[in-house]
Amino acid sequence: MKFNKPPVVEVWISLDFEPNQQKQQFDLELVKKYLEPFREELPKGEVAREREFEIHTSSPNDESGTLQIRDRIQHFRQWDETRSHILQVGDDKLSFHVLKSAKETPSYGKARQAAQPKLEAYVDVFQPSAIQHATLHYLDIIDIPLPDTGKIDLQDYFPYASDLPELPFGTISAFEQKFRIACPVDDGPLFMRLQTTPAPEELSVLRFRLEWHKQSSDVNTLVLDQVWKRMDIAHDYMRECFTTALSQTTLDLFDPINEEKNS
Amino acid sequence: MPLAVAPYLPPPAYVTDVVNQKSEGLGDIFATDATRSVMSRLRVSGLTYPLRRPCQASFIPNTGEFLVEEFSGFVGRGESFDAAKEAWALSVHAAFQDLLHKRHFEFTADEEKVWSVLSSNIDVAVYRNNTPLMVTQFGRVRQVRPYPSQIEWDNGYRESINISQVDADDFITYKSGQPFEAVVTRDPVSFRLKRIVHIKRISEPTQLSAEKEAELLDSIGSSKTLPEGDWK
Repeated sequence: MKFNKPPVVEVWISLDFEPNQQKQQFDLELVKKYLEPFREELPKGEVAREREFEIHTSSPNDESGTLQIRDRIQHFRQWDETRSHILQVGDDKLSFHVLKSAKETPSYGKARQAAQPKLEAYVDVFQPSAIQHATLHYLDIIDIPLPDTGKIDLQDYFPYASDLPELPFGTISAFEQKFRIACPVDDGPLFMRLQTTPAPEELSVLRFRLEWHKQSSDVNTLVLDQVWKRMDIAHDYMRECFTTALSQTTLDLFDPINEEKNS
Repeated sequence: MPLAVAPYLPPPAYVTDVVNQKSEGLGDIFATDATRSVMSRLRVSGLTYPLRRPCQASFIPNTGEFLVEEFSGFVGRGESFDAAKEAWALSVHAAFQDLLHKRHFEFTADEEKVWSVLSSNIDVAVYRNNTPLMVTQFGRVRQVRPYPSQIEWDNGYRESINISQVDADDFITYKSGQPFEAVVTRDPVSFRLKRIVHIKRISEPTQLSAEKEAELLDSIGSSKTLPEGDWK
């Protein structure tokens, strides 16, 4: 099922690596070397750092305690002029994000095509022992128009969302539901979250954030064809889950393409 | 069960803590997308607004909207993340500065709602106590040793000054007794002088003769010259 107005706003692929056995720390020189070939494609960047505080006390009554402060680099991020393609490198982590822009709608195919050379370069530069996990992520933003009553029925749009009876609870004003699902077609769970999120008042809509994260765990290989094969399986599975989780009323909001007519 | 849009109410701290906890078994996989970020302070137009707690910001790429969950009603729009974030920050800045100097009884119902959102997320007391007062003052240089080191304001109050506190290259050449007009920033709590951001020499104020002064006061008039009115 394809749509003229798909709700997807971001697709990204993330990879967790088993480090090279000689690794001593997150090597910033290697990061610079790795990012260098992509500076033209992704000219803007930032570094995220975190500070960890640790207090040691010798006894419960000892208030003097010694304080240790550790600074750590979380990740490097590089992006293009429109911030629609983002490459992120962390300690044994790599992700490539494609965000919705005026020119392009994100998709698995685009994310995979853009991530492929970045993954190959990562393997070349960092020489990890293996890829531990490869995860495909989708983020959908769904705006449901509010009728004159100012209320909608959750079940009309998300038939499998857990619900509460109107009596005695009343009206829901915000919620968040998370699922961890044992995927039947590939090792590794599917994480799914449905939650309400704020929308501009004048739009008169209820806005939902629907996240999909399919992790292919225990990949344990550097044969990239095998990794992409697992991603393809994850994508097909997620696509099926997406169309099943939403009601026809919701799918109609995305203006489905009549495939019979098109073929 | 029905679902409806509800006005935003900031959760009490203990609820926020629970909401922000990482889910057991779900890890931090839900916090990895590039559309959301945590904002721990708000910087706009050279000002920093202290936030009471870190806020969750989102950029919705397809609509070009920048929203912050806690700042209900404020939306920044722009073609890029940076443009939408800037528009959002400016809208908060404008609303805050508009309402900051109003008394509570002056608020309309809508302004009261907006102020409730702003003041529950921005630490207004910290903002006031960290935002220097800016005032125009008249004075003269009192001590020069060998450069200006003390000034006397027109109310007779004397204050030490360091050349480095004055944003004017030629202040170092001011002689003892030189009258001036200055724009001064002061600590809002202690009223201590922080900087002189603008200063200019002025001519010696002219002293009126006693006769001229009496003439001037007469020309201003007093309440005695006002028409009778029934004020009771």
